[in-house]
Amino acid sequence: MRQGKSYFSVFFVFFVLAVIIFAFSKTNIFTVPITYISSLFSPIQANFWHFAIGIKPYDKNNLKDKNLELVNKITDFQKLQEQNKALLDQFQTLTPKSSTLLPAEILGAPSFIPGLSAPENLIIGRGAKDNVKVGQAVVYKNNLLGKITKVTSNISQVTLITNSKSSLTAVIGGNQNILGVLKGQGSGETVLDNILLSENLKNGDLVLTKGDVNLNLEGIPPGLIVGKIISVEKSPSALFQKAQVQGLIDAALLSTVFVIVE
Amino acid sequence: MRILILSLILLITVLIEATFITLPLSLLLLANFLVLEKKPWVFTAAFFSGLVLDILLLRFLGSTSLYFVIFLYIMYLYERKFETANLYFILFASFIGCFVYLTVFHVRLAFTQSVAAAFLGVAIFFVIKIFPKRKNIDYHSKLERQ
Repeated sequence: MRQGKSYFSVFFVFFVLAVIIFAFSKTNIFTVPITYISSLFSPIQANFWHFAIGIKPYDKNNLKDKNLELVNKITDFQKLQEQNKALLDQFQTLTPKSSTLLPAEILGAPSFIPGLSAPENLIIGRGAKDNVKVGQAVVYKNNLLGKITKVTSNISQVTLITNSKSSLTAVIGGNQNILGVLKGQGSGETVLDNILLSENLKNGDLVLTKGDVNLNLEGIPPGLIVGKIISVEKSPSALFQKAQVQGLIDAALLSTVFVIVE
Repeated sequence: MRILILSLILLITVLIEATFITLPLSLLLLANFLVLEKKPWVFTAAFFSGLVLDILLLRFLGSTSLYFVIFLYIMYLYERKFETANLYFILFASFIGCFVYLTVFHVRLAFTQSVAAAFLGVAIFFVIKIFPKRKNIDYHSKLERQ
């Protein structure tokens, strides 16, 4: 009986605390502890993510002979090399302009089976203090990956275009008159829907963003690559035709992405 | 010492869950802790691990903690009537707990992931059972032994 009472009292205290915190979570009173805890865990998360996408030690055979400090230095060096390569690749791309891009390290991309199933969201290590806002596009080279949907002080969530809740207007590359709606299907797939039956689509056609920016030029700029058409579904009895679109970049293999901040 | 080790394992699973897997590993671990340890500190661990998950996954602060605490208390209520430290209960509780959790937090393939999580919960149950608990011997038991 006594143990039952102690269980109930502990449960009640934490239940009330959780309810209070949940009720006040939409206000800004928890900003400071959230910022502190997320900055504490961000480096650890980043290392977990780099381990998950397979950054290996420089020379496995020598691991037994090297001490832990040397192994960590080599892993850091490889991470720097990857980041530099990503930055070099990005800034050699003409669109989007390099002056509008903010590099962001991926901290996590949860999925059902890592390596097999595709993630639907990314967690990146940039937030409100870096001028990141909800609705901004996230790219890699000139490929659209997704857009920012949640922001805290230090970290943000990116909803990928393959997310089942994602949809945006797209055009077929080379013919700006063919408009469609790109919808995420989950599992790393997208479908270009609502295309008129009279339009002629073929496999291999590039799909680009139509553009959706606000007065501050924030949002998804036009001309970003979304993917290429891999199959077309055209039925005479349907109102519209559809096309399966495959992305050119696998977000689950990236370590750095770029936020279009202007 | 045992609590420290189990808390460290819980922290690692929170980081794994926040980084590259959507399976609710923390929930599975907490359910097994409650069933095997039978101590109120599990609620404390559930509360704080829920808060950390909310921060790292950018959910409403307190939402995961609330779910964890309520789910564990429902499990405790079951424990008062039935013997719960067996794999059938863990299988059932893990499946139900994970399915509701994944549905509430809008994670895809909730049913498939719950089935996988149920078997993972059973595996965690067997792994934690390997580590023996130190028996607390009270004064009267010591006298009887003498």
